[in-house]
Amino acid sequence: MRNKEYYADELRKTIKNLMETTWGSVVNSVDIDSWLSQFQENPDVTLDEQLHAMYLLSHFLYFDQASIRELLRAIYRDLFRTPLVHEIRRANLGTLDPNVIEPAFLEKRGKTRFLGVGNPSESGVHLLYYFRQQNELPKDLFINSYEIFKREGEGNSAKTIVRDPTIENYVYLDDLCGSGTQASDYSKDLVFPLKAMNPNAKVFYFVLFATSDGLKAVRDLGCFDRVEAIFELDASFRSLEPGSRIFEPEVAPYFRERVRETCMKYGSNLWPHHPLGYKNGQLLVGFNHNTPDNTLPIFWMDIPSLWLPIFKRYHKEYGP
Amino acid sequence: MTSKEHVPNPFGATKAVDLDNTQIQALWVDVLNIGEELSQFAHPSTAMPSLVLGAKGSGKTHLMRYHSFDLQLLRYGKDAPDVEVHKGIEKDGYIGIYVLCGSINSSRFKGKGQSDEKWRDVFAYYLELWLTHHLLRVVERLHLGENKEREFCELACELFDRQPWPAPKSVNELSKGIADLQKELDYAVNNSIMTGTLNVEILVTRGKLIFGLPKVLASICEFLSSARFVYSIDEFENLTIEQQQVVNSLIRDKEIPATFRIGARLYGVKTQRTDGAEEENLKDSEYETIPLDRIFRNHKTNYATFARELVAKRLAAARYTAAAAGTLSPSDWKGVFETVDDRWDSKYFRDIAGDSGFKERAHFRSFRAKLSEVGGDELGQLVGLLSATEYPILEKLNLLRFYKHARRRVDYFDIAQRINRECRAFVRTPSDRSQYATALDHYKTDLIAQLHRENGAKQLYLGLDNFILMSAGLPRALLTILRSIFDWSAFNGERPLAGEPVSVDAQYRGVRDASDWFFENMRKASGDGRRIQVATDRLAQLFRANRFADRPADVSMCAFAVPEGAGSQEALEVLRLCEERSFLVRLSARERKDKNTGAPQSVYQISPMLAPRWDLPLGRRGVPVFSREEVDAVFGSSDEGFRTVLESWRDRMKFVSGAGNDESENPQPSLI
Repeated sequence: MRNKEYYADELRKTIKNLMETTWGSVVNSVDIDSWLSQFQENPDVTLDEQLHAMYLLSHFLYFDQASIRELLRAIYRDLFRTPLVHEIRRANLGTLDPNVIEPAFLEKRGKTRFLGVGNPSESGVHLLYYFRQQNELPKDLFINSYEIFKREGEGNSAKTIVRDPTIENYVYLDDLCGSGTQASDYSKDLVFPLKAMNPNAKVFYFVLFATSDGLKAVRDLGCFDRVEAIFELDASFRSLEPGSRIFEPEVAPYFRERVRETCMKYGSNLWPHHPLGYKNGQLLVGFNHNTPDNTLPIFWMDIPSLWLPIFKRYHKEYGP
Repeated sequence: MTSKEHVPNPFGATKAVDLDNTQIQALWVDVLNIGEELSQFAHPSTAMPSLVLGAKGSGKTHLMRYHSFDLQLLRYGKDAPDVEVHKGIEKDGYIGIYVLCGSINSSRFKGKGQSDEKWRDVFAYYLELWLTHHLLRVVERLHLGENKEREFCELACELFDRQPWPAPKSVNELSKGIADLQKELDYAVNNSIMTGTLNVEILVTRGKLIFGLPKVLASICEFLSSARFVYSIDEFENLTIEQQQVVNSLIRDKEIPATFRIGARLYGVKTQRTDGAEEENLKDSEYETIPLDRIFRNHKTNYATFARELVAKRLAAARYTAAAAGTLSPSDWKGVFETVDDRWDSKYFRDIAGDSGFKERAHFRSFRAKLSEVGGDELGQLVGLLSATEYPILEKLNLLRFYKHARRRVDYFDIAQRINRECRAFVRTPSDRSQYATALDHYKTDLIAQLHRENGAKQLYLGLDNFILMSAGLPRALLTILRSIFDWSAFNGERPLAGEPVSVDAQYRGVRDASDWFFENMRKASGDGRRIQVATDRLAQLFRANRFADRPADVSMCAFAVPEGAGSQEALEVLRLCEERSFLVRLSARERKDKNTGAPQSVYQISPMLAPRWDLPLGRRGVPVFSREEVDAVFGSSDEGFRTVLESWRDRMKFVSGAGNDESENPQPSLI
């Protein structure tokens, strides 16, 4: 086996290439060195925590703003527009005539409302702005969750009804579906009541990224008509589990169990309940606007005087 | 998450084909102002055709495009009136008609069930139309006026064996007519595989338009009467042997005022034979050569000046203020790249070698291991005599001198004492021209390299002068080094070339990357490429074995001489490929001769671009003469043969205590 310098140089080259080609100068060598200095060195390269951290970093999937914008175009084009166009064509004997297709599509789109998952401060809602820009959509197609319903009547006789019963499609957008917890929470408050009041309304849940487990969990809720992601993260994206794509095959000096030990050691201090990411996500994924908590906390946890992140997360405070 | 400030890399584009005309002009370094030796780069003043030869990245395309009509127009001024353009051409004395062979997809002109003779004539006709079309696109922009254009077109049509259409009235119309003929020919060629036929009507005899049109122009336009029409054909290596023969015939039969400038890689000219006739074009008779990178290498000072200006132009184009103000002088460059103090008494070496009071230095630990059979006290005394605590480099020199001279164990003490005296005398008066001082001067770079290696420090190649030396006459190699360094510097959070020195770390990493790029990109595709890399690796291993040996056979070894005919045919073929692909640089066009036998020898240096991959020196001093066995071991196919030679080199240069280290068996050059 070669010395640490050799491996560190190779990894640094890879990280530099990633930065120059896809990460968009989000970090530099100084940031990396500051982050790495929190890990311990070891004369045995297989136990060197800094090499472990660099190895994980060299496999990190970071999506800059341009990439996110492109993915938002893909959501609209591939998950929303194309299926509607197919539906229109089927209803019109397979026509290819744009004079038939386009007006029908615009009519259906006019009976659609796009919503972000979460409250206005969260990433799902944040993405709507870029989603509208990228796809050149009119702003009246976007509503807040509270605008789905309205109260009718007064006093004890007041009841909640669907504000606009002509709306046929409700499209929920989010950046990541990790465990499916958030979609589940929102479906209880919003989707089930909506479906109960307007059984003809279709509700879609579209995300940029989703774990296979997360997608399954949301589909199993049974309230969404379609649940889809642009980029599905299967089990191989759980970086420290057997079958992880970054350790398949294992190549010295990077051994999965040893790297996992390093992540556990620091993760246990940083986020004791979820040392390898929310609900053991173990992801190596970050976005320009935030880093999901399903990603390993060593990358994003920011605790002054205790831990410096490399891809900072703007963590949600849900209150006491 | 906010992105760091993106700093554009002024060395990002390294290939002339990636530059637009304005950039070609802006980044051009006026070689004529640098020195007479580079005057060959100017546009040819004679009618003699020229071959611009050079390795990948030697600047052929930049040179040829600079002399193209597009760039001439740019120099006459944006929107210059026709009269100014005409005056400009009169003054320049030439019109450059630049074409790229890569664009004609030459592989179409063969096979498909057609005979070689047929393809030869079809290609020659295609070439006629292709060059003519490029010429006419130039003539269009000369705006000759309605009458002259009509006259030109009438005379042009007379050049055809069978006129394809009534005489056009304008150059534009004529140009379109030629383009249509070319298109028809493209169609016939491209579909011959489907149709099984190649029915082409050749309307003009070879050369009639290529040479005839310039004559017509010179006869009817006063401002063109003395102008030379230079067909500048770039990327000649993309043509097959048969196609090159067609061009060679045109070169041989050229008629003034037309001439040719051919751009090709070192190995790109596959034949000098002409088409049909059993004739060969002869150098200095039918053509002259301009070996770009060799000229640069042979005129080091001029090349260094050229290279500095090249870099300054890049910086100026990227609006770096210091460079934009004018040419950077050598002193300006001093602060641009961080350096280390490599004087013999530098603290830097103490930092590398460590504090000897705390832990014995690596070179003495190794010394003790080599002399383990010598008793503890005596060994301690020897270490004491060879120590120079404040000056690790002198300690390294002391050990080298000891390893070279200590043949019998009984002499160890005397030798160490003598070295101790010489060392102390040097420290007292370093300016004395002592043998010790001379030895230090000779061996210093190798000793520094050893010190770095023994202490796990990085081998450094720092500063613009070294980068220029590494590029060995290939401007693209220099730009690639600087591009990589700039990228690393930006990645390291520095503000490269904008007031802050570029760190040693960025230079170290950038140079390594550039060296790897050279190793992977300059080689030939296919099995030959692998053979080139294997041979280079073996050669480098030998040089490295020497550099880091106890008793190096030569100082700064990175070159070797090959006696004429030494080596098998297979080995000499690989040696030739290594030179063609610039992995080896032939040191002089003239062969040197063996001192004893007078037999001619060729001298080659491993490309300095590759030196960092194996921690080799950039500058050379010693040049060993390779035996036939060594040539075969390095350039042949037998791994075992190479391992045997490598082991013998290592054994020869290893100090073995009490073994006599017999110089008669293993001759070593005298230690100065």
